[in-house]
Amino acid sequence: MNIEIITLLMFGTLLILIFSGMSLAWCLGATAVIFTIAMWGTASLPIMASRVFDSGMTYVLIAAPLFIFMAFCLEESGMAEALFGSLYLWCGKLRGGLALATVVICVILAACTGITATATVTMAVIALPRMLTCGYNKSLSIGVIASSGGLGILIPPSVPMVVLAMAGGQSLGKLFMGGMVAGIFIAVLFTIYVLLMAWLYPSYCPASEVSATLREKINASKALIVPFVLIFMVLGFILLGITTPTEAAAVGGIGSFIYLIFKKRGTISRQKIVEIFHRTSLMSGMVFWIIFGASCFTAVFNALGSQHLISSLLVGLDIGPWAIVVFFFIMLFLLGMVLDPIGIIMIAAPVMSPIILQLGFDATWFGVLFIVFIQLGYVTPPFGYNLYYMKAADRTLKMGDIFVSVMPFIAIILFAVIFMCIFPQIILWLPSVVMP
Amino acid sequence: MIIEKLLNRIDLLSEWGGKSVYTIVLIAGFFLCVEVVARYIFNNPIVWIPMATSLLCAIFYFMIGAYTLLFKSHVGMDIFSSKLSQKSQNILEILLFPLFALFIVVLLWGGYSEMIFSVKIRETMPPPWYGPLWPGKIFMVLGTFLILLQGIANLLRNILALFGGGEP
Repeated sequence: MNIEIITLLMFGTLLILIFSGMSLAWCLGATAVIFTIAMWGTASLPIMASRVFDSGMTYVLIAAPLFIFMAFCLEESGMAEALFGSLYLWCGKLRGGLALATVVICVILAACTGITATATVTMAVIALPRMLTCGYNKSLSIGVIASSGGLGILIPPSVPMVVLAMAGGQSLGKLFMGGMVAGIFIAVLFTIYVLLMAWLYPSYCPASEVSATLREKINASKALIVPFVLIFMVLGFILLGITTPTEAAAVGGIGSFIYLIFKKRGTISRQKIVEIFHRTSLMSGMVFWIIFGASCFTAVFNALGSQHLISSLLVGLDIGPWAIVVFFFIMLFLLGMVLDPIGIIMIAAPVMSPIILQLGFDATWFGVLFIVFIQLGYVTPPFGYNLYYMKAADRTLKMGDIFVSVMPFIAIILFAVIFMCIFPQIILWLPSVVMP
Repeated sequence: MIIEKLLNRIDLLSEWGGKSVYTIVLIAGFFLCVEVVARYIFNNPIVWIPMATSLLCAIFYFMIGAYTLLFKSHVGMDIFSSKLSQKSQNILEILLFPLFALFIVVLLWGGYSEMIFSVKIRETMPPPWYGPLWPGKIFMVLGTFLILLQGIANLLRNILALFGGGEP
């Protein structure tokens, strides 16, 4: 049998297993084992264990559990509530002000945490009811929270970027820098959209009645201090070259833990702290066993020569480099609709990254756009985590309504992708200044 | 019933496996912070910290696999399977068990032979630290074994549920 057919069979098997609903980690691992036995017999199977062990020992991956831990600490500390309280006083009077505040808080939380759950869930719990009682359009309110929450993985720190740096061989520092500008760019587009809606349809997002003196406003703004200190400690340290991204994750994780203990001293129960470790473990366990399964899968894939096959096939098609990039983007978009983000990265990045380099594109540029598509995966139905977070936060919402509400935001993100393809400098400028 | 007692024991074991390591995140973070301070402020990097932290974290990832399985947090794409009846879901999970076991047994087998070798020669880290690497391999085998046990427990539960009685 030739490699073409085997490669096809391998992806076919993986796809069938995935659709059966089996955990992604086992799908990847089982496919790898089956094809190893079929191709080389059982003698080469022990290599799987050493692959898994080596990926477990990868230094850059330590950042992942630490960023997850940081996010859960901050969630427990009530930082999001304090931020919302403060920004409510400042923006409440403005038409569309609450939606704007939501975008801004999501950006701040995104710069403090590396997952989308924190911002999405807390904003769905605290901002959504407030927006609805103020008479905001339901679709706009849901859409703005679900999609701004997704910025969590584009604006550094970002757990998917940590995984991508390992799987695709990109520089994590450069990905962080590029993602920062790209994320803020998309946030600005969201803001413009909200303002436009407020201007065109005043009834969609009415101003709410807030009466606060300047003194009260300034007092409430103290809530901004801690997030900015944390952002400085994580991103600032990386920017200034004081720490590696992994160490920055440690500083952020420990910093947030100390902040949580200090802020809630005396009131936080042991149970709550155990809960944080519990949730960190579950999320890390899920992420890392997908990585383990996928590292076996990729090993087989590379040993077969499928990597070489795919790149020579695509390059040989003679359709031009941009057609291949667009093809990859469409693949990522489709994968994002059905697969878990970490799974997409571990399956697609090792295949796509070498080809992108071979075509002469910048690895960081592609990496950041890759994450934009991963972020899109969080809000595209039917399998979009953020949509389920919204549903979980407010059981009365209909899944169909949630789907419809994110559509304009998906369009905005796609527009941003096109824009960043035409002007790659948006992504590449900051990394080139900071890390020449 | 004796079998249910056994299943609960396995659950407890997986839970213990996770709980015994989950503070590693905090310890690893603390070590790395110490390293940053030592290097940046005292200009005196501690070379063993990054490597020791890698090892600690690897132990963490291996040991929480079963814990994650116990709390059903290994994600899969269940948009089709969740539409099936409870009974069909049980049957599907039973049918898929051999594939799960195939992967885990291969890891266990390969990991075991590596572990034996690694412990025998007291395998060390690469330079500059030369610290012990072999404990990591022991924990990999232990963690994988716990996953297999938890997987078997889940399988038995599915079978019990299928033939009436037992919890679903």
